[in-house]
Amino acid sequence: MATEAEPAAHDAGSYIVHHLTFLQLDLKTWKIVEGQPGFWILNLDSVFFSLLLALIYVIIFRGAARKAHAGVPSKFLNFIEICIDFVDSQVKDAFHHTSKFVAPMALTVGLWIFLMNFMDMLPIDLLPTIAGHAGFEHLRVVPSADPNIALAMSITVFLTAFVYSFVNKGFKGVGAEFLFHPFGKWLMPVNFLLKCVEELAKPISQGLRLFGNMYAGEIIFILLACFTLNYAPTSIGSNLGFIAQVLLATGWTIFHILIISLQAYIFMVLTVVYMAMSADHH
Amino acid sequence: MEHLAALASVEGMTAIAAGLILGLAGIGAAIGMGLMGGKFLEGASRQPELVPMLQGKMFLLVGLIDAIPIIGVGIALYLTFVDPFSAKVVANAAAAAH
Repeated sequence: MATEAEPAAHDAGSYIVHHLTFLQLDLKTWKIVEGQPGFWILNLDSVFFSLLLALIYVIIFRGAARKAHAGVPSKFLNFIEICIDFVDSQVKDAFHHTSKFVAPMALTVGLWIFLMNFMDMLPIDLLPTIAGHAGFEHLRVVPSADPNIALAMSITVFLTAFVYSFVNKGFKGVGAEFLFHPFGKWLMPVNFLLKCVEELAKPISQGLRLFGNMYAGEIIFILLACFTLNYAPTSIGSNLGFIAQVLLATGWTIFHILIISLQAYIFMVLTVVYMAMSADHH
Repeated sequence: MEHLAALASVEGMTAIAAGLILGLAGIGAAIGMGLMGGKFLEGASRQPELVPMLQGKMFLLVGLIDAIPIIGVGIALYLTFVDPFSAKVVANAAAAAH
């Protein structure tokens, strides 16, 4: 590994922190920085990978849409149709109104998040080492393990559902929901407060659920690498460590396949459920 | 010297905090999953033809129940390995020394 050649002091803590640092762009000075908090700091690696995966998704599905025909589908078209049917059945289960854009939105959200989560399946040092040779010291390749990206997606879904509720129920309907539920009209401030808490809990929980799962998974990968590949004083010796790393990382990767699929599915179903809730009349 | 004592105290508290987060998250997740799994098995034994549908909904609920505990695990691991509180103590001690 490239890091073993470094003469500087290298221990478990710094390896872990190195893998948890974003490659950031300071929008005020237009310089690449690392490890800074702040509003005007852009996590360049998360943005780059999420846009790249979105481009891949759009190219694949647009190609499938152009090739679609009414006869017997090819293998590629068959796979795309399986994905679309799956999302369609989930939308039909949860969304009982008609809408042209809810199912495509659910498909996009579900598959984009699955692609972003899938970046966690790559070996943790692979892309950062390649980036290191290109001159970027830090790189985090899983966009959904960035709280900014996860919360951006959930806040976008929340805003879409919010505007959709105005479109469906009108200003009076939304106002009635905010002011007269669950208590009567004499407790309007309480109703408003409770409804605000309920509305705010939706995007925060949706985004943080995705972020928490991906972040914890990534940290466990980093810890496995750290404690088996001789970066910590408690390692068992480098040869034995490599076998242990292969076994443990394989086991955790297989479990993580379930986690990434599950989290993408949950995000998609919650998107549909929130859209359905905003279209529900009482 | 007092800075060392302060640093040690903060690091000890951080360790206890991480342990509490992980422990309580584990209790919550385990009890929730146990209750839900029991109800699922009961429902499956009453109406075996509904098992595929129930299983789909069960996995959805697994993800929802696991949300807060896993966020807690993420925060606890962050506290353990990227010690933000002791970093602050060290920074303050360096600033006070000048």
